[in-house]
Amino acid sequence: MATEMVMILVGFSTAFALTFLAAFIWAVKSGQFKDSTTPAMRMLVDDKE
Amino acid sequence: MNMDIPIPKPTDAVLHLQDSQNNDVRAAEQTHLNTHCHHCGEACAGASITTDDKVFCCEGCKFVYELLRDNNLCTYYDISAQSGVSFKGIVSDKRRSRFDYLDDVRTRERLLEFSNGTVAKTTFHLPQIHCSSCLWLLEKLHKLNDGVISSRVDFMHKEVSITFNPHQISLREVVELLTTIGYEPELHQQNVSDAPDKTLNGSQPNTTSLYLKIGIAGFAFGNTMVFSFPEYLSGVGELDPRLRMFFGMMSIALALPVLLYSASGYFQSSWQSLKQRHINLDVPIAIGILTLFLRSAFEIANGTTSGYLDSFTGLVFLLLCGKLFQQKTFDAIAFDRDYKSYFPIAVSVLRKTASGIQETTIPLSALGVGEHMIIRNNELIPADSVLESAVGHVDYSFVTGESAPVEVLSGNLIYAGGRVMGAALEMTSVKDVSQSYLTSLWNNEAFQKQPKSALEQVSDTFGAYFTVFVLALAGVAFLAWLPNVGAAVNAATAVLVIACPCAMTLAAPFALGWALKIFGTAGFYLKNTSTVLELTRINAIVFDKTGTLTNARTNRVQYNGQGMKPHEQEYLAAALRHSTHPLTRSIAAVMHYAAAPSLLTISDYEEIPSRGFQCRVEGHSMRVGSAEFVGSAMLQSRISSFKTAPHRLQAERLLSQSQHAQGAQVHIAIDGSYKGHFTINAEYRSGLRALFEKLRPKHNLYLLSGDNDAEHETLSDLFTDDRAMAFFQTPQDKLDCVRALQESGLSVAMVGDGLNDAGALRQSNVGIALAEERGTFSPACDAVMAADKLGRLSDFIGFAVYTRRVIIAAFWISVFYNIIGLTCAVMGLLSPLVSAILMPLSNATVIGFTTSATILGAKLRKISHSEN
Repeated sequence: MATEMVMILVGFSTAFALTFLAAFIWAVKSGQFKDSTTPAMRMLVDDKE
Repeated sequence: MNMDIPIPKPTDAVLHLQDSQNNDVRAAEQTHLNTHCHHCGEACAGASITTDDKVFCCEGCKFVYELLRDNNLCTYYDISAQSGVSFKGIVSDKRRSRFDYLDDVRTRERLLEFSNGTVAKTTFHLPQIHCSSCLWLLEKLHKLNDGVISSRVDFMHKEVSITFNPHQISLREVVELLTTIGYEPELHQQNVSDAPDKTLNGSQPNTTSLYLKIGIAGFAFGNTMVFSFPEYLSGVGELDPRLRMFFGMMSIALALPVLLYSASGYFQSSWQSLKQRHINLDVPIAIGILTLFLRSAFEIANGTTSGYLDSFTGLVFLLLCGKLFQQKTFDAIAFDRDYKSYFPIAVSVLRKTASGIQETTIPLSALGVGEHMIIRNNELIPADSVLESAVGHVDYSFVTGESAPVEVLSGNLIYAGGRVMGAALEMTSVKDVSQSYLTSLWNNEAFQKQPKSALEQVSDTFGAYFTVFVLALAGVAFLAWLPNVGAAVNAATAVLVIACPCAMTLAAPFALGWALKIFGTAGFYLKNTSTVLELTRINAIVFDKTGTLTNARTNRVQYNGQGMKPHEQEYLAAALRHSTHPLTRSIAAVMHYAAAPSLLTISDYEEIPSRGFQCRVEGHSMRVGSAEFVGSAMLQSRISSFKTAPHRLQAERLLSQSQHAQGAQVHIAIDGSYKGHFTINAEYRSGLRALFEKLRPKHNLYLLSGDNDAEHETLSDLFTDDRAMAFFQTPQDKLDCVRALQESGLSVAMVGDGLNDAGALRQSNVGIALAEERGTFSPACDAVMAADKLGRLSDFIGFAVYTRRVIIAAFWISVFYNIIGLTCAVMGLLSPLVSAILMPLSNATVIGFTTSATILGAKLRKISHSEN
């Protein structure tokens, strides 16, 4: 019984973790990792207007 | 002043302001001589222009300032100092037409990434991007023109993506707008003719896929570790077999994408190298990870263990992380190098000042379009230019490999990378300096001393030995266990799995990459990473004297002889401008000429290296050089026509005294009659004595001087041994001498200036060109050193040696881990837990050790001060 429980729970947690992986893949594909320097600089130079 | 800058859509405000400026301009011309331009931060030599109490070096800079001010964009100047891009040379209508091709429909389609009639998107490479102000201004393009919808900068790649409305602003107008504010896009011909945007197809998908590979490997690593933990904690056999099988299957499912996608690069690379009957370092890695996966799958299916898949995914994850880090480091180095001011190189230009035309030296980074340059014998042409002089010879061997000089006529276009032969040429630049072009020239294969870099050679040889060793050890382990086939396979595969050549894959690139970066911040620019290793092998250093040990700028120059008439002085000054020799340059620096020397015609210029030069100025023959050179010519050419004794006597006396001269002397003869000589007392660079004392214990020091031996005594102090010094050396002598030293088994570093010593620099194992003042860039050298850093040469060599020690230490760390791992493997004791701890730990230790040891070492040795 406990074994089955663990298997089901592991299945769920892995499926859940896979959604994070999917989110990461989406983030990379959409170019969020393309340039990590500019946003850091942009934040500092943005003016107050 | 003429103001015909093309403005895409000139606003009334701008035009109005231009009219009101003209009065201020004249008033200000006299006052601001040594101020810095408000826009580009460059020193304003001579005439400068003011507006709003701010000084500008040229109309271009002032114009950009006004454009920004009228659009309330002056924050540009507050973000970082010297933010502006130098805007030299006013763009004329003629230049404007060069963007005509952008109106062509096909070109436009290639450049546009997206267009639906009302919205179009394009990306440009702007090599001028260098600071946060650039970023700020380029993302405010929509304020300068309503047609621009938005613009985004990619700083590291120096790119800007612009979204605009093609009904309001055409692509050509976008390019012109960027050009107007000083950021002319780099529109390479191949860029326009090939793919829509080369940069997009080039580096980025690579990084993107690397991130994906790391992400997937990391995800699998984390989760397989969770599946492996129950067994590590409970011990083999305690776990419910069904659960173990389930965890094993889950691990395989997670590890499959890692094997097929994340690790694919290693298989491809080793397959490529095996096809060429060659073993590189990726081969043992590929064998290791493949064995690891197959054995794990087998054991899981068998139900023996839950496999080694956490080690497998962790190993791939860490290897890829190392790759990413390495790529980032090299990206940063490439960014610095492409930025023009990275190399300390300068160029001579003629500028109008209140007192007439003056020759000044400006850094190459400040050279703009429309600048009037003087490029001398053997100097490299930094930018595409139009020849102003009547006729000249240019050697394009760096560019085309063809060594015969090409004759160019006034008005002809001369390409960057050519070398001037003979008389100095005056030319007007028509394009910006391409620093990346100079860098690529430097990295040109023609100047590689070995077909492969030292590092590649070492690591490939190591890879081959390592593979052979591991396979042999696996074979031995197999045989040793043989009666028991199961244990034999077990031990052999364990050997293949645990052996990791990570010291070479990770340690060397990391340590050398950091060293290169640290040297760069200290004013010592190395061509590539293998130069660092080459530096550590040096045991002989050859110095040039003039301009290297002595400082050409602070020489004391004295004239002894008959007074020269004003016109003779002018002739001399005009002739001296053509020579690149440090001594004649020091004389030229103290000569004052009233008239513009460029108006005098120079012909038949001929320079004999290390002897002197001759030419005709306005038809008058001029000989400048050593006593021997000037004296013998006087005897030969005038002996028949000049029957008068005094001339002959003079010439003979000159020849006899040439052996015991005081200080370096440059003799002058005009129209065959001797005028006198300049004595140049060399000023030695500071810190030489300390440097030589530090270098002497480990290096043989030599001096090769093209000049006379007047400084013999002073130099004896430094070199101690008379045999280590040679005077009256021609460039060929120097090259031969370096070669002779190499043949006697020494590894030679040559320190000299890039022009007169080019041959010796190329012949030496490490050629270090000292850069001072002028365009002494020579692709033949392995390193460029800022002249004032010469005193630190021993520290630099010391740091290179230290870096090599770091690599060796990292190597031993890896050996240590491998011994533990291989011992376990051979004895058949390798368990999933041991491998899970050992493999990531060894990689992480090696990366952490090399990086921190290199940076810390640089700080302790005071090579880098501010670097992180």
